[in-house]
Amino acid sequence: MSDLGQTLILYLQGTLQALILLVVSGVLSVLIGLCFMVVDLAGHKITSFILHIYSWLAQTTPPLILLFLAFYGSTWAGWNVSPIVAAIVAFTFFAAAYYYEIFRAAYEGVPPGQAEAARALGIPYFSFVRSILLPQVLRIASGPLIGRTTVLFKETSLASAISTGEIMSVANGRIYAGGNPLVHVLIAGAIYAAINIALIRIERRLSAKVTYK
Amino acid sequence: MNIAKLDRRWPDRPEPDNIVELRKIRLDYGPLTVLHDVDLAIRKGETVAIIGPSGSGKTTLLRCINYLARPTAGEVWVGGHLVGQVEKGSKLHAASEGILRLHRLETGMVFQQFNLFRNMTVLENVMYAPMACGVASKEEARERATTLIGRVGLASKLSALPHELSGGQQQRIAIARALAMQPKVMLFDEATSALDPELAREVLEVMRELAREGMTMVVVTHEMGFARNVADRVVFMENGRIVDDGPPELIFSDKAPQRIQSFLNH
Repeated sequence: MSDLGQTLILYLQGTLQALILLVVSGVLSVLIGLCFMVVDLAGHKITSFILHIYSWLAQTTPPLILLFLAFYGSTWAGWNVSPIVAAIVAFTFFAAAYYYEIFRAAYEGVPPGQAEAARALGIPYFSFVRSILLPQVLRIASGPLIGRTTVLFKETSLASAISTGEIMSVANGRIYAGGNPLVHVLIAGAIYAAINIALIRIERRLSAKVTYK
Repeated sequence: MNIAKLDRRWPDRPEPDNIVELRKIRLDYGPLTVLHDVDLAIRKGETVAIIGPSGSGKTTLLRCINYLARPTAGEVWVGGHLVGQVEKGSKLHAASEGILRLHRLETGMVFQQFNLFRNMTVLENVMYAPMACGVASKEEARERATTLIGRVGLASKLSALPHELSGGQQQRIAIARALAMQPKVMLFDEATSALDPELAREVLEVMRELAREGMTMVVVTHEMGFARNVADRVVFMENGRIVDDGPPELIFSDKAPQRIQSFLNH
């Protein structure tokens, strides 16, 4: 019984850590992705080229390799980086590329005449971006954004490979400690599913609130 | 005596009655010359229709008035101010986008595709620019907007989103949005070309009313009825030049040059 209680606490801690991984790297990479979009829109050839190279690299390298690079790489460089920080760096590095592509596609979906109308009206560019462009980009991006975020959440399970303490690490630990593998894999799977369903629900709520073409 | 002052070639201001004055406007796209040294003056309260075949430069000329298109050479004067150029060290330089923004406050523009802000309600669309440009407080902007939306006959649609409106209604809101900045001149760029005749009629009615109230208007149009019946002057353009400029009674008569007659009767 006390063993069950302990397992429960471990899973709760694991879930918490997975959520921290998701929220911190998710928020960071959304912000970075948005910044990249803005930089790309400024349309300088060199920055756009660098962004494309980055995006290509980040999307084609397996996340596990990025995790190892961030963790062992920082150790090799002599920095004492905790596994969770290394995981956040790795996840942010590749998730930002996906979000950047999502935002760029969303930007393409905003009818272009509005920028010209804003210029003709004398609206400052910053006001236009904040009040007209961004709300529309975010609206169009919200579906793919949440979709990619659910994938990111599943990818946090990879962090178990550098011995963080998230859900999959807990399941692994329990299995090594002699627990029934099937049970623990099912428990871990159920936690991922529950949280992702909640994410999708939130997205539906948000998009039902603002519907325009 | 200041030699620099003697030496500088500051252009003469236009007559105060000329709300818009274009002087020797030339515009090149690479090797292609779209406008050939066009001169045009528009007096206060006048409605000028610009007609002509596609590709004649009408829209480009209109867009030069608020510098959405930058002329390669020439001067644009609106409301007694030189547009798109600033004086620095007694010389004229191209204005930055930030300064152009201030120059554009005196012109209002209506586009073929309406270009309403899709994430804003009708009321917000009309209120937003005066607030963002700092020319009106929120209360003033709201009051202005409700009055203008009422004037274009859409008082019942204040909280509708653009996609819930017909094209004609969207264009009427776009007119109200431009008027909310209290411009000295309104520019219409084929404002009814994307609308079927019935919806075009309601937009033309608003434009006619505006002309009657004494608004200065430059109207690029294919609506010959409007040019003939509402405009004070009709400008005919072809190949980047003004071919003829006169009262509609003349342009639409058999005394007009052969080219115009054949364009009108095609």
